[in-house]
Parts: sequence; C-alpha cells; structure tokens
Amino acid sequence: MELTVYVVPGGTVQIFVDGGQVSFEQAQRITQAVMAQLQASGITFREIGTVEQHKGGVSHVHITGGVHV
Amino acid sequence: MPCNLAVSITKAAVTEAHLRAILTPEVILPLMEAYLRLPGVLHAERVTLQRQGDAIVVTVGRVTMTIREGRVETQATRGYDVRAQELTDGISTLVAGIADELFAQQVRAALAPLGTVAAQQVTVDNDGFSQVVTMLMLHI
Repeated sequence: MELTVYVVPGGTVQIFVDGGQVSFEQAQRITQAVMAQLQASGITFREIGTVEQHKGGVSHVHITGGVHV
Repeated sequence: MPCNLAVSITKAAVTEAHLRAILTPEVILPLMEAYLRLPGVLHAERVTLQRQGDAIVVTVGRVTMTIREGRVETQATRGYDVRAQELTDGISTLVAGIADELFAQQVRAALAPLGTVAAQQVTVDNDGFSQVVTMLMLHI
C-alpha cells in the first residue's frame, strides 16, 4: 500500500492511498490511522475531511511537474 | 503518485494557532539574520535585530517591525510608508514560508514511525492555483 501526503502551504494536508489490491475500506482504515498518528504527534487540526473514494468530482492537488531539489 | 491510481483522498487543515506556535523566536531569529544578509534586501540602511520576550524586533532604517507568533506589526517614520510596506511584505512572506517548511518537517517526523518517508518538493495545480508543495511518500 502506498501512502502519499501532500503538505500544502497554509497548513493543509491531502492524504492519498493507493495500491493495486487495496480496497476503499483498507484505504479508509490506513488514512484514519495516519490522521491519528499526526494528532498523537501534537499536530492540532481545525478540520478533518471525510475519507473520499477517488472518483470524478473530488477536488485535490494534481502534480503539474517541476520537482524541486 | 498519479491521482488516477489513488483509492482514497482525504484533506485536513491545521489550526492557525498550531502554525503560529511553530514560529518561536529561536526559530525566527537566525533565519531573519540570513534573510537580511541576502543581496537586495537592504538599501544601505542601519539594521538592528533583537529578541524581546516572545517577539523579534527588526529595525531597518526608519522602519521597525515586530514579529510575534507569525504576525508582523510595522511602525515607520512618516514618509517611509512605501519602504515599510516593501519590508513588511518581504518579511511576512519569509515568515509564512518558514511556517510551511517547519510544518512539513513536523508531518514528516510524525509519519516516520510508519516507515521510511521520502520527501520531494513538487509543483501542483490546487484548484486552479499553481503551488509548490511538499510530497511525502511511504510504503506501508
């Protein structure tokens, strides 16, 4: 299972879960575990969205290129 | 990860207080010193930089800026408004950038117990806005 977390300026994160055989329920569980891990580390969130199944209409970041070293 | 491979997507936003709390004087002071040494930032002006309690106070010529919890308050002698705005904009951008960088480091450190975290800076389209973000990846 692959986890990608985008840390966006202004203090927001977008968490993506993928993997060939990963079900939405598994992705949901791992996302909830990741959020719990972040909160346990002392990060305080004002808003946590629901775990959404990826499909058309879900707004999120798209990589447009430009990897910066 | 190309988004068409994602199974799920979740968004969360930290509190403003959390971001402000990252910006301690200990963090700000050395970065401010480095910023003020960058070519073009100063115009042969006299500069003082000091910590006052939980704030950093920078005086550049006739402009004094107090940075506390990520906020910049500026006072300037009459007639120096344009220079004050220029300095305030530069320092505000710097402070916001520091908060973003430190927050990304916090998230990376928090994820570390789950596995090896790889990090990259990438350009993304975020609801029509081009932004440079930190991308953290790990295999679970």
